[in-house]
Amino acid sequence: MNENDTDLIRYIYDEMDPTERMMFERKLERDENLLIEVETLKHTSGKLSDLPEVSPPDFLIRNIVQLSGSKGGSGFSFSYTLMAAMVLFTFSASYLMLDTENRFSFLGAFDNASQEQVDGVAKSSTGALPEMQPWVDYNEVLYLDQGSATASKQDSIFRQLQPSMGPVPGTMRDRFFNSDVVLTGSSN
Amino acid sequence: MVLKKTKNLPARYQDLKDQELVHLYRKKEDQLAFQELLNRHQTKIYSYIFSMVRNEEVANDIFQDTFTKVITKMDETYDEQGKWIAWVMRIAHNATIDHIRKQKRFVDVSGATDDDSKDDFYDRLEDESAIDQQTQLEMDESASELMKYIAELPEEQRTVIMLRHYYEMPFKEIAELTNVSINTALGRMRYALINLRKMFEENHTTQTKSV
Repeated sequence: MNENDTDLIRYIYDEMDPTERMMFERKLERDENLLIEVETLKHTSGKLSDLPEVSPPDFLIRNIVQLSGSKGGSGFSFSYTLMAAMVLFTFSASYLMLDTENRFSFLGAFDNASQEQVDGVAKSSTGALPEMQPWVDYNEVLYLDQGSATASKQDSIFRQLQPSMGPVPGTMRDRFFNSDVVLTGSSN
Repeated sequence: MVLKKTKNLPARYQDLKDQELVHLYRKKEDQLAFQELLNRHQTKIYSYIFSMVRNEEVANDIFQDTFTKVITKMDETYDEQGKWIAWVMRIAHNATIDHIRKQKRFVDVSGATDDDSKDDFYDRLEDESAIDQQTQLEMDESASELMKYIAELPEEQRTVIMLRHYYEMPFKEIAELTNVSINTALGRMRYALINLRKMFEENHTTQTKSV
């Protein structure tokens, strides 16, 4: 496709800037064949203005308009869903924060008494069952060394300690690690 | 079919540009803004699709698919920088071409026709059966003849003709839409006009001889 061919279409469809147009018209004055081709194609192109326009059926337009409304509706519900999710997240986050605070405040209160408790338990456990060695983790929670004791010994220790010890309230461990024996704090 | 001018939308919408209407619809979920956009462009988009597939049911399906995509994908894929209608036309064009190619494959595989000299979908498919009878009646004779000639053009040339004449789309946009260079788009237009001219001349010669 040479330059004249593409220029010819751009000229017919008025897509040339004024300078290009002027130069092309000078070319047309010099080249009779090019002029004939331009006129012929212009004539054919003119016939295309008779192309019929076809409207879509009304029911189709109604469907689309309805769909456009439901998109709006879905956007509306989406924003509400998003808001609901945010509220839920906020509540969950504040609950967890509160939960953590309780836990730490409990531990703070426990701090003073814990050493006595542990000492007491250690004394009583060593007295009754010398082979059971209780230990305390970094949260000051008392554990019984289950590995070194039989189930019957664990039970007897548990019964022995139960009147003076209670399960740690409001900790995550209460909820997720129920199988562990976690005893601390005094009920007295 | 007759062009129906619609609808009773508030006058203020008619003064707004496409971009403003799109903004209203997207940001404020203003359904009337969308209706105004639809009113403005529905006939040309539908005419383009119909002229390419020449079957009312198929045109309806493609038109509805196009606007379903427009509505559902507008938030994700239209960035409001380019012309909205060019974006819609791209969707309509792709859906139309997809359909034509699927049909072409179907015809090829089924082997319904074995005439190798006919390499266009419309050459292989009986035009008269594809056109709804009612539609055929409503088209006036010369327009119908013109459409018949256009239908005989190769798909690429027909696409350029339709995009230019129905949508007055600049060749640069046609080139972008059809993923070709601007020179290719201009060349396709030139060949389309040359081919149409030949068809008009042949028809004229035949008529002269018969008289």
